[in-house]
Amino acid sequence: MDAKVLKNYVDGYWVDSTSTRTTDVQNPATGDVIAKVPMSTIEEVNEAVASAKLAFEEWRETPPYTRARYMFRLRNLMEDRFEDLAQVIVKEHGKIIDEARGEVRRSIENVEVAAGVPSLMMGYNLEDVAQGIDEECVFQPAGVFCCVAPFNFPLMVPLWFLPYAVACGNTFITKPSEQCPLSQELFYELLDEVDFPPGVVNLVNGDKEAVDALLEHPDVTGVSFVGSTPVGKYIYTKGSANGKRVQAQAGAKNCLVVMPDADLDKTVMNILTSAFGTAGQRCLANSLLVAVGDVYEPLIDKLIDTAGQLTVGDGADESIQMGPVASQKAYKKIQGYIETGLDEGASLLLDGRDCKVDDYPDGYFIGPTIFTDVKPDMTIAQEEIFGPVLGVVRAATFDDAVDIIHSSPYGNASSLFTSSGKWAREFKYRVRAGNIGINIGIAAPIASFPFSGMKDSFFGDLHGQGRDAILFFTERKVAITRWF
Amino acid sequence: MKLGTFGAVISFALELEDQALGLYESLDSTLSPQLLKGSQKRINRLRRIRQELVTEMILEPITEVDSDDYIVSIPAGTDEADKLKGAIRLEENMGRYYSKSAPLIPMKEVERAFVRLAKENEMRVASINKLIASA
Repeated sequence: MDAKVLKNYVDGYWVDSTSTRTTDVQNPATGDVIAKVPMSTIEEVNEAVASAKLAFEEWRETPPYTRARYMFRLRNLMEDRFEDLAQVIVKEHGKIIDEARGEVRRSIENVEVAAGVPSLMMGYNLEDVAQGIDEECVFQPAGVFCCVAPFNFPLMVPLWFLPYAVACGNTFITKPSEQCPLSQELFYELLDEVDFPPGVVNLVNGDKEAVDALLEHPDVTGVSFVGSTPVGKYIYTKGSANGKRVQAQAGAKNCLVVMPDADLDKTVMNILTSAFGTAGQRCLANSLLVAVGDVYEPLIDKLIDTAGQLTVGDGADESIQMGPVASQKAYKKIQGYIETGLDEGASLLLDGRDCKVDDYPDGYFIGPTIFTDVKPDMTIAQEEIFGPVLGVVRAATFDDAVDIIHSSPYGNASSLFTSSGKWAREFKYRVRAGNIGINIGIAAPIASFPFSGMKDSFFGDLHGQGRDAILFFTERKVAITRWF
Repeated sequence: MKLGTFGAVISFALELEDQALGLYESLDSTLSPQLLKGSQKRINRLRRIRQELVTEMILEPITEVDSDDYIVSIPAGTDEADKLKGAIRLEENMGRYYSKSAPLIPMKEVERAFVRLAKENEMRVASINKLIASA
């Protein structure tokens, strides 16, 4: 039986795309095609924008308390369908069920924070800026916004944006990842149940053609993006050139620094989650381990031993600790990087290349892979691999470790493992990365904080989530009044 | 079977609690309604833990928990007295499971919840023993 072709959601209805182009959605654990996603046309994008623009006029007049109640309803529906959402993520992405549940939890947290919009959107004022003249600043919704979503957190990332945008009175278009669109399909079924006025929320599947149409459309006010640095730069440049506000979270090459005074048992477990969780397919994954001073030997011994015991398989099985990588393309790319590491002279201490999983002959499985003798200028130390490959670099001192971090063009995240408050403070203060972890391997900001990022890891001014989101999705209007 | 993930630890806990719930449903005792209500509450609490406390920031692999160490078999058709003895074995077993697993889960809230569950197991054992003694 042919896999179903996904629909778009426009103006409150599920509609078939008229496009003749589709791409397959695969379960990466089995290789099975589980759906087909249409590559929507420019006309279909335009229809969604037109619907969102029309809906904006009424939606922006809806009181914030009412808009908040929509968020409460959405939150409750997501809790009710929590496990369904998690299972869909496992099927389309491959991450293990606990990681998928974590993703759903983070998604819901964004809805919960956005429900605070009656407070979050409050402005400020001052009487008698000159005698008898008062001045106020109000936060107003700005129009139609859209997001271009990545494959690695296919449910959560759009929710860094949509709940805030809509709670602030804007209307929204989601362009899901064409690789992992199914969790957004289910999420939009829930949005349909929430029963927003038609056009407030829209979903358009597609590829670059759809994205370009959004970037060029004069009625789109702002664009949110998460993905690779080359695409992030493209979206930021093109979106800005077309007069839009843009926030583009981009690529990463994060370092995890271990000091000699670190608690090694706890550190090793954190390294495992950081480097191999979600099979390394996270912009917050630490893929370069910097061992400072004489911590290298005891650290490596523990790490190789425990990493080698991680169970790899189908993420739907609760006993599995690491799933497949998300696609055949990713599989080949990661294998290529492992070969490059060997060619450049790094030593492969743990080889995940020939990972086989019983009963899953067609899955894209790569086991945990660890290189040592990595030099900071090697390809595997500089480029984002986005897979379960960890490189270990030695640094003589804390300062050398910071230099290694700063040699990267990226600045997404970095972690330090230490028992010393002094080194922790130095690290937080000096390291130019947006998301810092102290004894935390995945420095993932919770919903009321911005998901930060610097250098080539972020293009724009305001990040997703938290107060940044409220600023990104609103205009500040100043009114000065005097009464005769 | 080794339980290496947070989800696996919670799922096995739910299996044990479901077993207890089934046993109390089949009991014809004055203590049954209280035990049943308590079991259902514990199941709801575990489901909430799995759904609300999972955070992908700290999903470290778990080691040293083996479900085979905690399986209790209570044959079907057992009489009331044997069911009560089986209930004690099951409750003690669950208490051991929660006590052993609690410090291995890197989330303080979950650790506390497991400690609380283990304490409740102790209290339930005491209640059942009291019932048996009074019979």
